[in-house]
Amino acid sequence: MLNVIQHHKQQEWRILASTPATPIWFVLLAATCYSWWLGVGHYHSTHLLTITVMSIAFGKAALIGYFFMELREAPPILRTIFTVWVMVIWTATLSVYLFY
Amino acid sequence: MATVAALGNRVDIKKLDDSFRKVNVWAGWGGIIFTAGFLLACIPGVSYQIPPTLNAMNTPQEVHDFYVAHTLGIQIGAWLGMCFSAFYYVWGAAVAAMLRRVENGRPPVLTYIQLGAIGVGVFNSVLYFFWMAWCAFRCADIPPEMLRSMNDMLFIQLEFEVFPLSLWAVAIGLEILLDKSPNPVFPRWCGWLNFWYAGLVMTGQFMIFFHAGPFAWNGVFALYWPAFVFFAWISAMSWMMLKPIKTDSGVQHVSQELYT
Amino acid sequence: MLVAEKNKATALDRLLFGAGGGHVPGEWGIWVFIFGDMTWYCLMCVTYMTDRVKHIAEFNRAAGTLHHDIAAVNMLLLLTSSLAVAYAVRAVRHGIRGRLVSALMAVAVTCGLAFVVNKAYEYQSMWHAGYTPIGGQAFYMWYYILTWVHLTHLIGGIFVLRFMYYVSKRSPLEPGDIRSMECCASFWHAVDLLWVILFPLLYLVR
Repeated sequence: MLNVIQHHKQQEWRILASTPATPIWFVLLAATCYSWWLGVGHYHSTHLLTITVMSIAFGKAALIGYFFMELREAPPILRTIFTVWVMVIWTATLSVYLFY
Repeated sequence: MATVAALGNRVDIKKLDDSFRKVNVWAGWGGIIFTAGFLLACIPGVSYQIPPTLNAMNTPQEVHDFYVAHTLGIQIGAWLGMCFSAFYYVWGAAVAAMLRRVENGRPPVLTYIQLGAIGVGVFNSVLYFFWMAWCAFRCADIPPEMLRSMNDMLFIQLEFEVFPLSLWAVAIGLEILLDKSPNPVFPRWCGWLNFWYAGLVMTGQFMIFFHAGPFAWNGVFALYWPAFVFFAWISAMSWMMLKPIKTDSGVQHVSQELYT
Repeated sequence: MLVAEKNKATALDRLLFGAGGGHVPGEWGIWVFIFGDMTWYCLMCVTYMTDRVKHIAEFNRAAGTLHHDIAAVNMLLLLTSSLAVAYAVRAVRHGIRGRLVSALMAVAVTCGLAFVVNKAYEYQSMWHAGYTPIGGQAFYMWYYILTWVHLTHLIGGIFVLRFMYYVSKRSPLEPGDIRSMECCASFWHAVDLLWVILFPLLYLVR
């Protein structure tokens, strides 16, 4: 009996985990840790650092939108608005940083 | 539906529909007239308030000179604003009345919240113009320091009041989303629009802390963004009111007379 | 050759755009709200960056005084809580109910609350060290306002999660209920997404 329940629980977990969101979560954690490790201990402007952490951030934002918010399966208009938003804010912040 | 049918025996439904539509269209235009009138009262050439000629870093003398130079324009602006503010509560009362139907058979708390909030909203708008008139009234004679302080109050009056307005929009939004009737009063996205407005008009609250920068009373997040959000909200809601409303719009389960 | 290329395109397409069923997460209206909110954040971030350029040295020095570690841990907490919420939505879609969903929601809410506790500690410690929003330094003004606005979103989001939990308990679960849960989940992911952007913007950019 207990075995059956155990088996059932495992199956439920398998159903839940069998989504791209699961590997994406690991990617997001790794990206966060990488930015964290990169970003600590700087007190002066470093363009390379900033461009890297900001690009990682907007990559992460896109992944959250596509996979967690399920926009990758949404009607194209929603996906397009979201993608354009990520591109615009990424370009705008970095352009201000580099050229303003 | 039973009550609607029963009503049908006594009055002509089509005629009723028509009168409803007319009332709401008038009220919807009320919102648009208020928006246009408010902006007209504030533009450069009338009262020079939006975009503001002054900023929070001006010296008392600069504030004094501004008021003395534009006294009549500011007074005309205040007068226009006072008049057009009347349409604000016409609009607000009509929204409350339309959404009252959703709470038919429920305690009408959300509707009464709206009624209270209309008072707060009109206070926000009308007192703004009263302060404007007050600043202009004796501007040449009062000490510049005092005039500058009065001018600050003008903007605190306009921008600092955010949470009472937010709750109003939350009440409207909740009522729209609670509307499960076959023929809703407002489309559901209007409810979400209200939440959007409720959340984002709030950036104005920081204006009491800063004299300069984007959060000061002439900055992006205290003046322009809340103004954009507010006018987008009131325009969209007014626009939706111009659409015909039916006798049974928003009526879900009728446990009492439809119009009580 | 052509066929191979076409297949490749579909595979990529499938990865990026899924099966393309065109399912609106939640309902159309919630996206008016979320995209509206995100537009505002875009404006906020760009204004912050323009202000930053005006006082680069000050901003760099001040950003060094922030607690990166707390912020990064908070990021990990929010990501985990997002995943839990995504799983909860998946669960009810697949007809899985009961303690598993409750546990997932509990994880999500606990991570949210832990974020608030961390943030409270961070504010308290910053304030104690003399870094206040009205001390005349533009960076701290931005830091407090941006994080405060995000925190209010997050506290609102915890109530949203509470509502989501309440909906997930309904029996039988109707399609409308699943839609409400999707709306709640989308909002929570948006809170997560905004922190994804704020974290490097405030703490890491130099």
